[in-house]
Amino acid sequence: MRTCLIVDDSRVIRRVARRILEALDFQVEEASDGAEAMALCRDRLPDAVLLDWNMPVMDGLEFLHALRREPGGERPIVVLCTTRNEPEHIAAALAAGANEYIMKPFDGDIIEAKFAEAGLPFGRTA
Amino acid sequence: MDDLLDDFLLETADTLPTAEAELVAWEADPSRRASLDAVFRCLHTVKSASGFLHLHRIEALADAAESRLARLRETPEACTPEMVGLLLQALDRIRDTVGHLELLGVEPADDHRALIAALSQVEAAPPPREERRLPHSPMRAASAEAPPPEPAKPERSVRVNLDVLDGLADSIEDLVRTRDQMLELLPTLRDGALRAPLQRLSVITGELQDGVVRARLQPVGAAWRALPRTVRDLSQALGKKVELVLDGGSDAVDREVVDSLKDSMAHLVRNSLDHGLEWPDERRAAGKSERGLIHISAWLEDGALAVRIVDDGRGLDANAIRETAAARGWLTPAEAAAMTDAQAHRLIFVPGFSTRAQATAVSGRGVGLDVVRSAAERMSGRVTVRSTLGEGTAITVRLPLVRPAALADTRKGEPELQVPPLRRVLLVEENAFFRHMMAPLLTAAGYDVTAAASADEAWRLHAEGSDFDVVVSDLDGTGPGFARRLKEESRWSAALSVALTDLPVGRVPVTDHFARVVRKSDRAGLIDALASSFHAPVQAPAPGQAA
Repeated sequence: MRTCLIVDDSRVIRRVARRILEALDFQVEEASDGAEAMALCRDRLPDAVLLDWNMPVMDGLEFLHALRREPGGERPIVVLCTTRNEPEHIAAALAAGANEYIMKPFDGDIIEAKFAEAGLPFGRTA
Repeated sequence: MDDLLDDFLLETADTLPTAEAELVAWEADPSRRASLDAVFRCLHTVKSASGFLHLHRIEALADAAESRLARLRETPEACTPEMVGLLLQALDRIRDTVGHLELLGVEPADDHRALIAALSQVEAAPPPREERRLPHSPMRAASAEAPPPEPAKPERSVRVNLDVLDGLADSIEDLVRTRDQMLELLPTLRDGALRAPLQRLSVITGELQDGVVRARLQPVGAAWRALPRTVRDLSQALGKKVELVLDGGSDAVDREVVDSLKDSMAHLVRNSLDHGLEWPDERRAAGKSERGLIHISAWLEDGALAVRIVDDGRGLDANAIRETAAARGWLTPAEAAAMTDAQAHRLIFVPGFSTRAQATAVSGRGVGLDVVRSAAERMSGRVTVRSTLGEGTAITVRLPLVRPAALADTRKGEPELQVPPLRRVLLVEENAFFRHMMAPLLTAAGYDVTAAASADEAWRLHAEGSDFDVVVSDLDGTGPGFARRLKEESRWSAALSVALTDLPVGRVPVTDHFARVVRKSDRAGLIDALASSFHAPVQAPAPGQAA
């Protein structure tokens, strides 16, 4: 089963994202900040990461830098979740190794499409 | 989607106050970039989450505020108090909308167009530099020392109606009583097989009891979460400069205690700002810093919660208080003059007391500090004041850690303590304040009260042939001599004799002349002492037998 890590400080958004991802047959893990996400990744690298930018403790960009420096850390598909107020974040995230970005609020179709664009194989019929 | 909405309500209930506190903290000290970032993060979260839930009015407000904040992050020096005011207003509107949503399940119709337009307006040419600095940046928020409130961790929580929790608590109290009855029966049971399950039941009952108490706990600091904003708005409205320092607040107490404290703290802070702290020029003339200080701290002490609010303002003017009390007809001028300053200070908590001729818009409305005291007393707490003229005032509120009703519940099974029909009470108290306080209290408790202002007055009543079932006398003022004469030489020797004292009860010299010793401040204790004495009749010594 494909795995996806949701990193967002909002419990509401983690919950929305979990529903969408589970409907897409992902096995989901959650982290509420970058540091927590890093700890989970060291434990086991996910196939994909849905990453928020604004978080306490360790923000999305710091997490991304840290992840990509990890052994094997280049593998996970990282999709930045952002809003239209943050164009500079998109640029910085892509420069730091994010594969794609999506605007909140997103839905299952958008996520599936972006994951596919980023090269994550479909796993629905696994 | 309903559970999502619940999550959203829970999350915003946490996020909005944090955003407000951080915004006020940043305004006070624009170098605190982390505060600005935190506000931004909060608004961002609200915006994103409301977008997912199709709460478009909240989303639009949060979006406008977030965009404004984004520009503020670029040019923080362009910030004006009006701008912060707009942002605070946006937070208020979001909170109102969320409240409406929680109550009715839908967003209200208001689309906040004017506020969003104001937030979205491109700044006019910045005003000259000196005006751009916040004119009276009011205060350093608490979080200057304390780290900002922890962001919402993904802890597992759910909202519970307090009534449900109270009902649960009541059931558990019943369970505890039943368990206790069973434990008492245990030795009489011949069947030893019951012993082990009964002990397990006992342990589980204890855990339940503990759990329901913990479910109601909240940090004390929740009671003053809103104060930085209150102080900011008021100090700007008044044109006074204030530094608000908040200490402690992490101790957990029952949420009813926190709720009770919330209003009182707001009231006391308003009072300090309005009446306590001087105008900047007055302060300068008095050799003080222009910026007044309001310091709030909380700690646990003797199993109770103490919260103290201290200001370095003008302090209480005992003479003005004496005059007011006399002018109100509460005391004769002689009685007023005889009061110590500390006694006079306590009069500020009497209903109807106000030394200012006119109530101001801020703490006005004719509401005095008596509401603070009665709020504390409803919780079986108390309020004390210390003040030095010219230096400042400290008011301390002491409250139990759990709601008094919970304690009352545990007594529900006991027989009611009833006051028998009309006992005659003689109250001998030289201090007019206490005399006036206790006489109506005893009357309200169902006693027939006669008050005497001195031992001489009491003996006059004796000579006139009056009789009493109880004599309550002031140990410190009237003196032990009165009690000795009462017990050894008077017709009243069979009366229940109760001593009132200012001293801690443990330090009162033990004497046979009193059946009970009660602290003057302990009004409930006085009523209890009388009620329980009559419930279990005191064996009064026969005349001449007393030591």
